[in-house]
Amino acid sequence: MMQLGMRGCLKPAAILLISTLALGACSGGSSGSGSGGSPAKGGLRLAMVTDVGGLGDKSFNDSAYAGLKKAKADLGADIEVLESKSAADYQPNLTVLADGGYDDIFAIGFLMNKDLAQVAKNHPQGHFAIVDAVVDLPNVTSITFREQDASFLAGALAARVSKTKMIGFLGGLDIPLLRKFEAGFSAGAHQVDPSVKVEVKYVGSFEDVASGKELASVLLNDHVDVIYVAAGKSGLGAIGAIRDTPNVYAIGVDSDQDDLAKGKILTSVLKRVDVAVFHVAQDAKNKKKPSGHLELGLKDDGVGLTEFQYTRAIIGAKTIAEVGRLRQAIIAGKITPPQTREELQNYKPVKL
Amino acid sequence: MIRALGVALALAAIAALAMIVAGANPIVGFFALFRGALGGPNQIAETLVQTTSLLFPSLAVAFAFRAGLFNIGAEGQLIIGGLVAGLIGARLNVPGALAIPVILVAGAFGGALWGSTAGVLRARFGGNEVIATLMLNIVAALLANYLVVGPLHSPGATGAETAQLPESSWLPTLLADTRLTIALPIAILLAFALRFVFDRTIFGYELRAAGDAPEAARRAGINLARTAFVAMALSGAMAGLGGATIVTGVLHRFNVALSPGYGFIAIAVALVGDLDPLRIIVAAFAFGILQSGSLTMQAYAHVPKDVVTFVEGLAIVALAARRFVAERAKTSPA
Repeated sequence: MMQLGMRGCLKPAAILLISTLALGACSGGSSGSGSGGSPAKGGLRLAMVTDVGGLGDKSFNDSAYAGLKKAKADLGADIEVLESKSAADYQPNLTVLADGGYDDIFAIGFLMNKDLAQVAKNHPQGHFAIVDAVVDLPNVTSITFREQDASFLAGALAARVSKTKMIGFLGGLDIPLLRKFEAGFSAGAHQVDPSVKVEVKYVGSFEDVASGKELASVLLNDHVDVIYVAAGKSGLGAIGAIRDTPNVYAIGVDSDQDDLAKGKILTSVLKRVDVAVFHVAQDAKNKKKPSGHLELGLKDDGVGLTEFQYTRAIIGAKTIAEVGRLRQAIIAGKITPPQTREELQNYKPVKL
Repeated sequence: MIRALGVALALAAIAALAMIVAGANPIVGFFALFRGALGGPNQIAETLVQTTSLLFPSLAVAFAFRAGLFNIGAEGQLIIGGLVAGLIGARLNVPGALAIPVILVAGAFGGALWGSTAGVLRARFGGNEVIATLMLNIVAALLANYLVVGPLHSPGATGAETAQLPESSWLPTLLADTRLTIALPIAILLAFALRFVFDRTIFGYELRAAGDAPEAARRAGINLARTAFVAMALSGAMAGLGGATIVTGVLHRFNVALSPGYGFIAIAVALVGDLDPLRIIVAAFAFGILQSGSLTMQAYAHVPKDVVTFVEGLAIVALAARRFVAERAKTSPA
C-alpha cells in the first residue's frame, strides 16, 4: 500500500520541480545579482569569509562588511561575502574564493588563521588578509589593531570620572587579544591617578549575557563605579546591570554602543575593522604593494573613542581635554601603552 | 529507491522555490551546487569529506532506530566525541601509529558515555530517549564550550577551541592537499559491519526484535532495558567516532563550532537510506553534495547558505513525520 502511494507521488514531484525551474528561468534572471560570478573585466574584486557568527552580528563581521560596501561605493569594487556554518567551512570557503580569482580575500577573525595559512600556501598567486591574527606568509596581509592605545584613553577617562577610585575591567575570554584591552586600560588609569584601583574579571565567554550581568553586579557591590566592558554579547548583560544602578558608568567596546544606555556609557572604544578592510582595498585598487602586517592605531583611526555625545556634562571639559592630550602623546610616540600583563607591570606613568 | 527519488525531486522543487524567494536564479543555483560539489577532484574530495562527517552520525541514528529508539542526540554525542578527541589529541605526544587509534577510541568512548546517559534514563527509569537526547545536545555544546575556554584550556589555544594536534596525529589523507582521509573507508567499513550485525548475528536479531515488536521480544526472553542501554551506548560511540574523525582529519583541533548540525541532518540521511547501512552510504553522499555545494552556491549564484539548511530541515520533518504516521498506523488497532 505504502509503496503504491509513494510511486504515485513521484509524478507530482517531478512536475512541481519542472514548473518551478521554468518559473525560475523566467523570473530569476531579474534578480540582478551578477549570477555566474562573471565580473566586470579589470575591475577590483574583493571577497570576505565570515566566521560562524555570520552577518548581522552587530560587531566584527558586520564591520568588515561595511568596509567592503564602502569599497564598492567608493572604488567600484565587485564584492562577495561567504558565511560559514561551521569551523569546517572556513577552508573550503576560502578555497572557493581563491579559485575565483579575487584581488583580495578577507578572513574575518583569528579563528581562521590555520585555515587561511593553508589556503594561502596552496594559492601563492592569490592575495589574502586576516583580521586579528598574524599569518607570516608573503601573500597575506595581517591586520591587527593597537587596542591598548584606545583602552589607555578609556582607562584615563574612567579614573577621572570615578568617585570611589575603584574601576573595573570585564573581559570576555582571558586570551592575549583581550589582555591588550586590559593592560592598556589599567596603564591609562594609573597614568592620570596612581591611587586608582583596577579590578579585573573575565566572563569566560562572549555569549553569556546572564554571567556578564552577574559579574558586573559583583564589581558594583565592590564599589566599582566605572566598568570597561570588553565581552561581546556577555557585555550586554553588564551594561544592563549598570543601566539599573545610579551613579555608575560603563565604557563600551568594538562598535559605537553609546546608544545602548544613553548617559550611562561614557564612551565606546572603537575598533574599526571597516577602516582596515577599506585600507587594504584601496592599496589593491592603487596597485600598491600590499603590506605584510598592517597595525592600525589612533593615528589611522583604526581605533579610537566615540564623541561623548550623551556624557559630555558628566565627564567635564577638563577631562575631555586631558584625554585629547594623552591621545596626541600616544600618536607622537611619547607614550607607548603596554599590551601584556608583563609590560603593564613594568609600565611607569610618563611625565608630559 | 523510487521513494528516495520522489523525495529528492520534491525537495529540489522546494529548494528551487526557496532560491526564487531569496532572489536567486535556481538554474544557476543548481549548476553552482553541482559544480561546487562534483566539479573537479578537489571538489569531489571535499564532498566526500562532508559525506564522511555525515555517515558516522547517520549510522548512529539508524542503529538506534533499528532497536526502536529515536536518537536525536547524535549531535551532542558527536560534539562530546570530538571534545574528548581534541582534549586528548592536543596533549598526547606519542607516534601517530599509536596516537590515532587512541584518539579515535577515546572519541568513540566519549560519544558512548553521552549516548548511554540517555540509555540509562530509558532503561532504569523509562525516560523518553527523544527528550533526553535532545536536551543532552544542549548540555554537550555548553559543556564543551565551558571546558575548552575554562578549566581544560590548552596552552596556545585561541578562542573556544583546543590547541592544534601534532601533525603526526592527523589522519592520513587519501588525496594529497585535500582533507579527504582514511575516515571515509573507516565509515564505509562500519556500515558493512552494521549490515553484518543486523543480518547475521544474534545480537543484531535481538536489536531488531526489540525495535520491531518489543512485546514479543520481551516474551521471547530478550532483556529490553539492557538492549536499549547497549543500543544507545553503541549509537553514541558511532557519533562520537565521527566527531573524533572531524577533529583528527578535518580541523586538526577541537572547535565548539565543529559541526553545522551533522547530528540532525543525520536523521534525514538515515531515513532516506531506509535505515539500511549500505543505502545510507548513498544517502550520505547525496547530502554531502548539498553540504559542500552550498558553499559554492553562495559564491556563484548568491544563494544564501540558509536555503540548504532550510531544505534539510524540511527533509527531516517530512521524513520523520511520515515514519511516525506509519508507525502509528502499524501499532494502533484500527
